[in-house]
Amino acid sequence: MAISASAIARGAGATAGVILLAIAIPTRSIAQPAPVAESPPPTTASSSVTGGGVTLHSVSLQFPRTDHFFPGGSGANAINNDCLICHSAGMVLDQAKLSRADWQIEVEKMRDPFKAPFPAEDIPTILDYLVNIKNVMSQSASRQPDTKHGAVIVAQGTAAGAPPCAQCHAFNGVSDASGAFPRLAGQPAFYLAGQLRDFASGVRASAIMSPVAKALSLDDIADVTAYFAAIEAPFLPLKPGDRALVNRGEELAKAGGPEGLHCDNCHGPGGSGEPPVIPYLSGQYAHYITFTLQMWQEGFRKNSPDAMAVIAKKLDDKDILAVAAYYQQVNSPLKAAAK
Amino acid sequence: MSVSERLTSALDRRRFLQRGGIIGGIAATFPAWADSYIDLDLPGGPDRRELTTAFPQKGQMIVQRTRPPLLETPWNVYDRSVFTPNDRFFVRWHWAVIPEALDVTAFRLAVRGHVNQPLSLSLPDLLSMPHVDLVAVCQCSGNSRGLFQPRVSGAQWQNGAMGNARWTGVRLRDVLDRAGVKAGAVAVRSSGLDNPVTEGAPKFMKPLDIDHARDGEVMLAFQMNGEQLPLLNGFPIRLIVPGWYADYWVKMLALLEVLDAPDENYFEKTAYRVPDTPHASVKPGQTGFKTVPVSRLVPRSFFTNVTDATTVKPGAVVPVRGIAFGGDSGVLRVELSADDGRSWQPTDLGRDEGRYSFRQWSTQITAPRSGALTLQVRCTNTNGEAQPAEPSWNGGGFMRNVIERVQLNVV
Repeated sequence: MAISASAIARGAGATAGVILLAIAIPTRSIAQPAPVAESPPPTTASSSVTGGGVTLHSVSLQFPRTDHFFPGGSGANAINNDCLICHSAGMVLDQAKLSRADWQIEVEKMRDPFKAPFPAEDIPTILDYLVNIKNVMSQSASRQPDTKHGAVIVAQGTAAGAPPCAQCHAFNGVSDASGAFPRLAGQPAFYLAGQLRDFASGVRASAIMSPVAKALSLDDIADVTAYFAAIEAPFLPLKPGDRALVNRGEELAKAGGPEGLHCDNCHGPGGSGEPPVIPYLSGQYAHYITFTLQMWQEGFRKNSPDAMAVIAKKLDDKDILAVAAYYQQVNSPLKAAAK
Repeated sequence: MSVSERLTSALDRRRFLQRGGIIGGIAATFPAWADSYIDLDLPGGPDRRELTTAFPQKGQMIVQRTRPPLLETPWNVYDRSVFTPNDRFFVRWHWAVIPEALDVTAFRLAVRGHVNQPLSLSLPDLLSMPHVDLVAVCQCSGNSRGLFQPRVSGAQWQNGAMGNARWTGVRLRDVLDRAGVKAGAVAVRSSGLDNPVTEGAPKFMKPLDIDHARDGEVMLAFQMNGEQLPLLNGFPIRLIVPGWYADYWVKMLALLEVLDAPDENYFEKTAYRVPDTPHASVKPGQTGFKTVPVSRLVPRSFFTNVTDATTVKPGAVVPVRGIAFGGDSGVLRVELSADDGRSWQPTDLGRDEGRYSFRQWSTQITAPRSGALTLQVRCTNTNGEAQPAEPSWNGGGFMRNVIERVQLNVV
């Protein structure tokens, strides 16, 4: 496919412009995690129906997301990657102490009949973690990420040789309109950190990112991903995609192909993401989504062998362009005008 | 402030631990939107849960799980009224794909299977049918699972996975009659708009025998306590199965399938099953017993204004009250014992809102000069079934209904 190499070259050449763009955007803000004082009011749509003296109003709302994960560092990688696709961590951590045999029944139930997409080889690692949960919990008063240090890495790079992330991703994580580099702003820190580790190990192969990731320490990774995760950045007013392509993409995203599995199932309504493991797609650049799905298809990305690798292979080139075109425009300020 | 209000607020202070000072070691697992924490007093723990108001259309709830949501009603809610407010009513979903938007003009309920005329009913179609209303307790079959000993896996609820509401809707029988059930139909299976995340996982569905479905009490509710249902409680319509556990009360009901053979779906044949033994009870580790689906509610009663943390003065006259329900029949009587179950005294029953409703009970008891005041409360339903003195046990943590006990401190 034409987009991969040429787009990356184009994007890399635009570095100076990217940095200027970042400086020119004054609205960057770091979200402050604050307790919610009251229930968010549901946006009740204007439509309603009435009959027999009863009126029902349409409802549109959003459930709260949690970006928390199983604590315990690398020992928790398998449980985080395999389990958080379908459910949050809380109820697992709140179980009373269970035997390994009891946990095994639970974990095997998740694979079959519940069809959790992880390999049987992960089961012993997950069980090791689960039988040891109480110890992990008591020792998990770990280092808190330092977003200020993360910002320094983004702007300056590291002494160990990592270049400034802002060269390609912009200081506020919106990258640039070429779409060669993914938008990182607001992506879950856990997801971003996992990708950096996989770039370093080669599970996700990338000529650009693998050397960068290898030059970051684990603390650097924690800081830089916490920094990008906390940014609420605007979406670029990109040229709207072809309407028919966007509509086909929306269909695939919301209803799926012949087998019915659709992107929003895991990536959340409108591709809004399911932190901490599942990245958002809404507003992600079409070129990047296209490129990534091709990397899945071709096996250069191996860090979701039972889910994304399988799904990507079920999509043809036109499907890929369609979902990419759809997700790019979900949060676009020009979306309304395109309709 | 009345004595009972003072008791309740002391209870609140003890149970509602404020956020400051305790988040260090558990920060990795609790989201920023938690307001504070509550201690559920589960035997052996862990029993700390976050309290939050972050879920839309819900007030402050105990978070048992964020996704798919499991939200428990804080206990002090039950002391205020026999009707559980919609915004405090417990929430339990099996799968994470739950619509966050619902257009009432586009919604359709499908009725198909072993019928003469498959239907696609709009909400105006349903609203134009004869309305019925009924007060009924909705209780998760795993309510109080966290109190099982030995402990069992699953959602670690304390006693707050239950609620009582006035439900308004249309009879399932009337809907089925519109489609025309064919001879030979044996069951009606309900399912909603929620879906599993992964391909091939079993969709959540529950069946009712055809005669039960057509008994005139089972209904499709579009109102709860006079308002449309919160989305998390099953908007726009939810199946109401009075006197049966909540797993049958399918939320966001979108499909009724009339079956001509017994339902063998996962949530009927494999999950939500209990030992076919008295009180659904077996010994831990026991095997080889027959199982049956969870079905009818069993009687329960609770204290709502006193707990193990309540302190009373020696010789004081203590007002004691709570709620009870008969399960699949009404409340015949609620009795109190202050002598470890050797003798029982009657209590006064509050207004009767119907046989499936919570009913308030109240009485007074005189505290002893010293020591502890241990109280037990027991409900007997109109079928003559009383709560057991010993807790039942099963591996699913279902159907707990042992006589409740509190120990007040006399100082």
